Amino acid sequence: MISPSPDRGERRQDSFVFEVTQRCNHDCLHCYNAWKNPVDYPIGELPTDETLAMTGKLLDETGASLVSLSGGEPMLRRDIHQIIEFLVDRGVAVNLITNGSLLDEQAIPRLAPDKISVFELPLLSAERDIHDRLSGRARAFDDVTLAVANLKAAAQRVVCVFVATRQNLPTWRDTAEMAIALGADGIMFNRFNPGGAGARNIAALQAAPGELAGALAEANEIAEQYEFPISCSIAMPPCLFRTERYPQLSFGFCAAGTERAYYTLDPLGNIRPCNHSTTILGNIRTGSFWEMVDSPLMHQFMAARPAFCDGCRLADECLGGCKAAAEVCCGDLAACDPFLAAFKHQAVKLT
Amino acid sequence: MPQRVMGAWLVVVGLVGLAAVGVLALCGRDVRAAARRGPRWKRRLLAAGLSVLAAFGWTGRSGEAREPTAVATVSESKTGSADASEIVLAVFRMRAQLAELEKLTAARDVNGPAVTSTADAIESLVAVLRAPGNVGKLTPKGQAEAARLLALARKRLPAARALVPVGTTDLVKSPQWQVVADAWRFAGPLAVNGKSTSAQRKEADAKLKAAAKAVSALQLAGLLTSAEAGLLTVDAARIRTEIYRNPPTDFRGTCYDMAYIPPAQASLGRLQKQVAYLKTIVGSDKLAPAALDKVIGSIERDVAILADPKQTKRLPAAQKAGAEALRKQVSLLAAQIKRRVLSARLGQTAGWATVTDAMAFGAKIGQRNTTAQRKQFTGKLTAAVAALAALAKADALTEGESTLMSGELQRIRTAVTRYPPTDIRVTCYKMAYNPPAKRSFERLQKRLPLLKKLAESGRLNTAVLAKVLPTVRADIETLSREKELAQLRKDRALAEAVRKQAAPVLAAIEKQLASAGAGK
Repeated sequence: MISPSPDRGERRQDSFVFEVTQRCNHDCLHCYNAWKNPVDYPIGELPTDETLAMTGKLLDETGASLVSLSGGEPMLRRDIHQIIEFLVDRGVAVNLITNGSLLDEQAIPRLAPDKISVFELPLLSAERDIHDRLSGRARAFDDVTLAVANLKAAAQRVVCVFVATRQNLPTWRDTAEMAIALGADGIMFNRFNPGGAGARNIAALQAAPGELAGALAEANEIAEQYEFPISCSIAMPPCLFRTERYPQLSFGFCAAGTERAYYTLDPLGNIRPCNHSTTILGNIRTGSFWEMVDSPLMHQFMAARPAFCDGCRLADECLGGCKAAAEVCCGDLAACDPFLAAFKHQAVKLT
Repeated sequence: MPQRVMGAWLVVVGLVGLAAVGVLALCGRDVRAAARRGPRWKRRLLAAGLSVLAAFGWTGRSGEAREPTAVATVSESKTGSADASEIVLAVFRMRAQLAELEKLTAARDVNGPAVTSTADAIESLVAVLRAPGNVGKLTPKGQAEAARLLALARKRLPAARALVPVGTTDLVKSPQWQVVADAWRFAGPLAVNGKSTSAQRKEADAKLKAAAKAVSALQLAGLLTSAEAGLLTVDAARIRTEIYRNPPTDFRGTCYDMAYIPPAQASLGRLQKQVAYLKTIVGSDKLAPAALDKVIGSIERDVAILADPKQTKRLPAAQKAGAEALRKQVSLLAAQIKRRVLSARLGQTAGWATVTDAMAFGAKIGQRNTTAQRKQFTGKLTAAVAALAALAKADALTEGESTLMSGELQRIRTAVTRYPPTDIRVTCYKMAYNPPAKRSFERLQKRLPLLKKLAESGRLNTAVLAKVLPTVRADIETLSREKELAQLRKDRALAEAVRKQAAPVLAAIEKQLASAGAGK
């Protein structure tokens, strides 16, 4: 089922995130899902044919070669295998972001071999209690570790995600080593980024820069010792972290608006600048993706910078941290990233 | 008759003298020295003996001692050893070279290379004469002559070098800069120390005077800006003032006529002169780091004095507010200049070379690169990160600059690793083709100790462990197959060793699982 690509000119967007459902069987304390914010966010799902049609339209318009399926819990969608097959037929690489609870021995053979490029599963702690508490569900730890083991037994590529909070940071090294023992191919060390349900739990979850820096040093050691890829996908503000001290780790800044951006498609066809943001640029079923990208709303999103960053040499790269977090926690894209706001007094501005 | 008696008497005296000379010579004594000392009869007797020897053509002196005029001074060296004769020669040569230098510097068009080579020759002779114990081997007259020549050299050398045309666009390589550097090197410590002899003061004066001429020449040649030259001039005055603030150490008098100026007053006076120069330098594109290096330290010291309430309390009330404003202004300007000086020096450091090498390599390989290039880049990147940290520690980079550079390295790294390496055709480049046996032993190496620890800790559900173990077993089996091992070549021995270690660990975990009851 390969659709002809209409003329996109020179423009191309390599990848996007597709939130296939807003339903989830976990209730993570740190969940940043847009619809968990105290704003009116459209809820619902489209039937399979409409879902595939809108996905195909977005692929046609962007020429994307990678789609990350997310949610909610994407495996809760009955037609998830149809969506995956549709994407694979279109020659698109598919990443699956899942909590692993539904990746049982029946589900995995349907996805393997070669339908999913990377499975992204949370491993929040090597301690069962901590993982389960953060996930908001009993047995979450056993489910996810079993899923990793099953996926590796099926020779799949698995990346574990560690969301660094003050609750699980003490177990970071053990958790990383557990991921290695289970055969994971890499681990993401993502600092807790307030938003969604997480915005209500900042006090319980937010770790201080000093604690995070200690964990980054450990991560650097682990990456070197085991030759194990560790990346930090959530922006670590360079005024709070000296990232060059951790040469074995990869760091990223906000990619919104760049060709690395992960524009997000929700189950109803709404397009957002990223999966953390609540800003809806338009709906792919009724509008053009590039018109949304070129819209004043998107320009406003890209241009927003906290006043704190005035005069900082890295302002254009760092973009002031996560503006989506600022948007959902402070109601203002140009406010300080709540993490930076909390530890502004420790920041060393790069003038 | 009386003439005969006199002749016979002279012969007898001559023979006795000759005998005495012979005895002294046999005893290893210096006959000529002995002939100049002691009672008159002894001196005359020995002189008679020596005259007899002279009548037979023996002078008792080596060839060089026959040189005119100088012989009169230095031929009477205390010993006839080779060392002494070298020192005598050095004195002769020094005298000749100084005369030559005077002639060269008096010429209308100064012959730069000739002045330089003559000055160099004099420097080496000065070194010979200054070596401990050397001048002491000369007679008192010889010593006095050597001292005279050394003083002359001290005076003429810097002045002569300052006259040599600049002839270069590199400040540090110019002969004039050597004069300036030499003056600061010699006089600076005397100023800091506060103790110096009269001779050292004279020498410092001569060097500073020559340095002033050299600074003018360098300014004329465009190697120093007028602001930099101005700063050096103020600093030279400071050095001189500080050298003279106490009596010379060899001064025996009880009073000293140097007026006391409170340090804060002196610092304020200097900074008032320097601030305009500093402003000009900050606003200028040109910068002579070598010149600014010489003065920035003393400017910072003056700023520190004005920041010290104990020192500023001696200032008149009317000056205090102005002094504070000036201190802040100069402090800011000096910090800006210091950063520029350090940045200008940065390019010469090995650490910076490491950083730029990593950047250049990253830029060269770009986004399309091989696994080998990527590995090489990671090595360079690690070295560059360490170099940045070292440069920041050494104050050659600010924290911000170091972070900025490291951000740039990260950006390059992101670009380099953006796409799978060109020698790998699979989607996920981490799944680069490795022989299965290599993948197996690498996995086993990493995982087995961790799995053992996990099994012992009881953290993982045994069902999970049970699920993981087949993959471990599969790796061990892979390493047992000759066909797979054959692909390993140099890693084969290592792989076999890992397999041998893995088997008992696996068995222990399996036993543990069995006793715990898999599928708990």
